[in-house]
Amino acid sequence: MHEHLAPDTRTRWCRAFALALSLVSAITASSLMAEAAAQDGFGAWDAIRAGLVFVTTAWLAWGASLALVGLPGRQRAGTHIELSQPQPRTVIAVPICDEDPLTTFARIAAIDRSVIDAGVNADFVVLSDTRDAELARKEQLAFARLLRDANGAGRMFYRRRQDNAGRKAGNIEEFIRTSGGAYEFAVILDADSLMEGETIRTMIARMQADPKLGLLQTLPQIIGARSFFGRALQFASCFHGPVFTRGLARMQGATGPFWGHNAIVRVRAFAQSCGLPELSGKPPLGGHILSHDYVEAALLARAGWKVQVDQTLGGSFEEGPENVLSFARRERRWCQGNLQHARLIFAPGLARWSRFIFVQNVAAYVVSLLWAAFLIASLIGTVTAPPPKYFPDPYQLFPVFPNTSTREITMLAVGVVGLLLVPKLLILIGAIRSGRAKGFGGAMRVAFSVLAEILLTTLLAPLMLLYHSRAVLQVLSGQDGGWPANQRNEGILSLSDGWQAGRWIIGIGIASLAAVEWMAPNLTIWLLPVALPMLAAPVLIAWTSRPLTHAVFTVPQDTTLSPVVASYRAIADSWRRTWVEDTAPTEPHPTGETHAPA
Amino acid sequence: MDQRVSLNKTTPAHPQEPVVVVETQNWTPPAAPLAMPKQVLEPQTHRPALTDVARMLFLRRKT
Repeated sequence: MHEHLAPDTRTRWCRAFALALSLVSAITASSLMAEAAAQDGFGAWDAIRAGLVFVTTAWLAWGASLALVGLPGRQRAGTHIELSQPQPRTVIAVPICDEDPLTTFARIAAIDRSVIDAGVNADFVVLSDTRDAELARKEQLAFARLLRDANGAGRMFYRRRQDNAGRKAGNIEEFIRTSGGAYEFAVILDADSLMEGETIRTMIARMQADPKLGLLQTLPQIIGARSFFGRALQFASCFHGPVFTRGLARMQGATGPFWGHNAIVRVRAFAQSCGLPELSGKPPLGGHILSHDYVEAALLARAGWKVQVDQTLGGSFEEGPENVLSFARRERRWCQGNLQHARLIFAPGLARWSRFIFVQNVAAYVVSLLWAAFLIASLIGTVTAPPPKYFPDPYQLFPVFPNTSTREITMLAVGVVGLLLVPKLLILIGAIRSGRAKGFGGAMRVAFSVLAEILLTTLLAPLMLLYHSRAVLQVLSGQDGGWPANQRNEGILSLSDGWQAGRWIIGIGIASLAAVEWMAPNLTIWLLPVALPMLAAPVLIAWTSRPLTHAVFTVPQDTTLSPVVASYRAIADSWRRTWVEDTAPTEPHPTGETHAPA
Repeated sequence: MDQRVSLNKTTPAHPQEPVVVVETQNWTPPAAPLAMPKQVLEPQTHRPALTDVARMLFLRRKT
């Protein structure tokens, strides 16, 4: 490993703490499980159950440890570094594929204004992979409008590829191959990204100040959410996100993450180390690398470049999914990409931590399947357990009642719930004590929001478990989900939409309840927290897509809009008013479709 | 690819308006090629190397 990438003492302690917490939690949980199972004899299914509990609890504890590591200390920005002159040549690259042209280019116009206000000289390049010819024509009209409004000739560029080989990673790679030599740094954005010019200025200065820094990642905050689901996600990313990300930053040290956008890269470093090959074999596990960003971060580290994430760099925004179905669809894409990482764990020359990240990326999705396997193993274990012997001795006068395992199972359940809740409650307490809660509507409102978010995620957890499990099984059975373009600004889902998308979940819920009630009725009560949300899946899917007032899930952006966000909205409104004839329709789904099947 | 985009390719909404032609030739980013070598990610099979070693041993024994 390169010396400057070696973890420092703090990073080592953070990693040791997280590993210890995960192992201790996993050992405790599996011991409790084994103890509970041993009441009626310890069989093979009990061993499987204990093993599954070990892995799933370790995963939960690992997530909790991220928050615990990220909690200590105040969220303060690092030392301010001034941009050195002459400014390095920087390009702001926006790869797009079948996006809404008006909003995409209005965002670029807003970032451009902000960048100019911040005194940064940067070029812009829109890298279009759009396949739809009509949409591409509108992109070009929108770009012409941007050029005119921003007086951008000579510093704003647009190119559309003939094919979209390698998808987004290939799109960026093609730009670097043809034009990368012109730039020292590239800020990589998504079509829905917004960044303040001051943030970009700070990022360039940080890259200048540390010649070994290959990539600097910001923590994009979700903005613009309107639905119950979207606002809950926005609140979680804004309120819990910085603490989890600081934990991640402390644990990862100089071998940090890349999330594909809202980050700055050193072009030479990226070119030198991030040319992605196709994986041998066919999709879904072969072919183009889909979750390319994590691989690129690992490759930068392999070549000796530092990769860092800094959650204190504000002024970085993105949009999030507005309903369960678009979230599940995104998860399907990410699942396929992450499972490919299983093939890269033993890639030559990688830092040990990078390999561990690949293991985590795979575990993030496989763990749902393991939870489902645990439920099934529990049922089989109970059914196949030997009947209790009330008179084990032939001449016994009084019966011996078997010990119940309620105490162990209750302790196990409390422990698992604790791993999920304690980090969020500690973040809440920390925010109230530090005054950060004021931005989220004050102590009472933020406490209510945290509670509502916990309730919502609890209700949706069984649905997510099934969506993840289905995605993993689809990928493992060779079904390629591809990497379809993002569908943003999706509307409200009707109950009929919810029924269409959630009836298979109801089917599984009914089948599970019926099987348990028939084979092991004493387990039915334990299954209800999982089965009831499944039975209510269509209602949950439809209800959480409905608009929500700002009474709950308040975030600072509700009251104080970041300048670049305000500027974007003004520009988009102005363009909508004056641009109908040229570019109509501007909605991403002119057919009136509100969503695609999940 | 013809990169000229004209609004007149479709039926104009307002025929009396002047033709809007968008020249896209100057939109392409500056040409400044940079090498981006493909990285090796999948573990290389050790079979050829092992075969070499085996052959060497075999030949050595033979001689």
